[in-house]
Amino acid sequence: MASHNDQPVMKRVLSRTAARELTPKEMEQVSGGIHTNTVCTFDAKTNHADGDVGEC
Amino acid sequence: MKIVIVAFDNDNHTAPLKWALEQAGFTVVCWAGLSWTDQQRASLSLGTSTRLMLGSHSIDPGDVIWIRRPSPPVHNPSVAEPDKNFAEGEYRWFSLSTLYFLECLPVRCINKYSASRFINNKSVQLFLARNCGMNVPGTLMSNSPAEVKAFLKESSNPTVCKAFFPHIWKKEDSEALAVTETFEITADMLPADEVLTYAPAIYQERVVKDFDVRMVLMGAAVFSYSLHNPRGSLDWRQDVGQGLVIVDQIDTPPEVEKAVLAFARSAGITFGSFDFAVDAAGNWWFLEVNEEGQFLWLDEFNPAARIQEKFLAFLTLPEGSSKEAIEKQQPLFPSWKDFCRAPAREQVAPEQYVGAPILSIEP
Repeated sequence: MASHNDQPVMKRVLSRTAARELTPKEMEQVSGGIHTNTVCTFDAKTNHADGDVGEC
Repeated sequence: MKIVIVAFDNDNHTAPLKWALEQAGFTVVCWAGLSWTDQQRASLSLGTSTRLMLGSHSIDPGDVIWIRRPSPPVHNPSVAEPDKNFAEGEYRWFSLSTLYFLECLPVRCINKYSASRFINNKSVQLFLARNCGMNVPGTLMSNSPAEVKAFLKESSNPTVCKAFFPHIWKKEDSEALAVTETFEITADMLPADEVLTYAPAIYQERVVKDFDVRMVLMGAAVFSYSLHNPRGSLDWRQDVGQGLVIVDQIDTPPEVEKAVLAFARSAGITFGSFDFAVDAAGNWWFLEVNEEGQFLWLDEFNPAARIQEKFLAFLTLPEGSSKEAIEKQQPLFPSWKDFCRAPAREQVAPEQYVGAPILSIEP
């Protein structure tokens, strides 16, 4: 997380600042090549999520 | 007795479990939740006799209702614009009336809707877990900058920050994604006070763990699985999605099992997926429970787990059946791998369900 005691940048929440950006390989898996379809997956092309959102 | 699953029949757990139950000779019906469409309508009669219809299915004494994943109520989109708010509210209230009413009937609910709503609160979970004798990391839930700063200052252990609910951010002009993840935080990493008021968060003492445990509660029985992830991530969930977790069945320490069963009694749940972190001294630390938690991925990673068969045995045996009874009954059912090989799997329509606003588009 880059932010320290400076001014709020773009008024983003802390969890977004620290969110994990997916790597291209991870993106590929999350977008369809995922190893199991029983944990939450997200299709970046259609914006559809499946699985239990509580476990994404 | 029939099994009623409250979910769409192409839900990722409903499809394989419905198929497996039918293979074993059980009658299974699905109802996805209240909607204006034919199959998702409901009727509740309270006259000389009581009758509940979910779609075309009557709910009868002795039925087993698995409230797997009710979809949010949907009103008829053709309703006049000035009446939409009213219709939406009426659908919401009738949906709640239906789900809570199941508890009034002589049926077995897994879980009772009231219990599921109660225990889905992380504050309740941590409080009950501690009261039932489980190890619980010191925790602060807050949007008060002063409280957050004091907690981080006073904590003698490293601290993590996590969200109450997962979220995904997507760039509007690309497919790049960012997902919420538990992250370590220290006092000198804190942003300006105002940022801490943008969204409440959970601040928790970090358990220095050897490995994680996913435990599945089934009535009077618990089944535990160690999760080793080679990357040593704070949160294994994303690693599961990437196929990076090793799953092994392990024994549950008797004191942990006793505490979990006490927790279940307090919460009123009979089914749930529990997460623990196990430290170097072998202590199990309660992190959370998801009463709608997924479990078939355990079979995907370790077919010897046979969690699908265990769950179906739990579902079809009398309430309160022992672990031994569940394990004795489980050979009655086909496995997750059997489903994966079956033509039935190819016939399952893709899911198109977003159960909560977990997605934001950002510039």
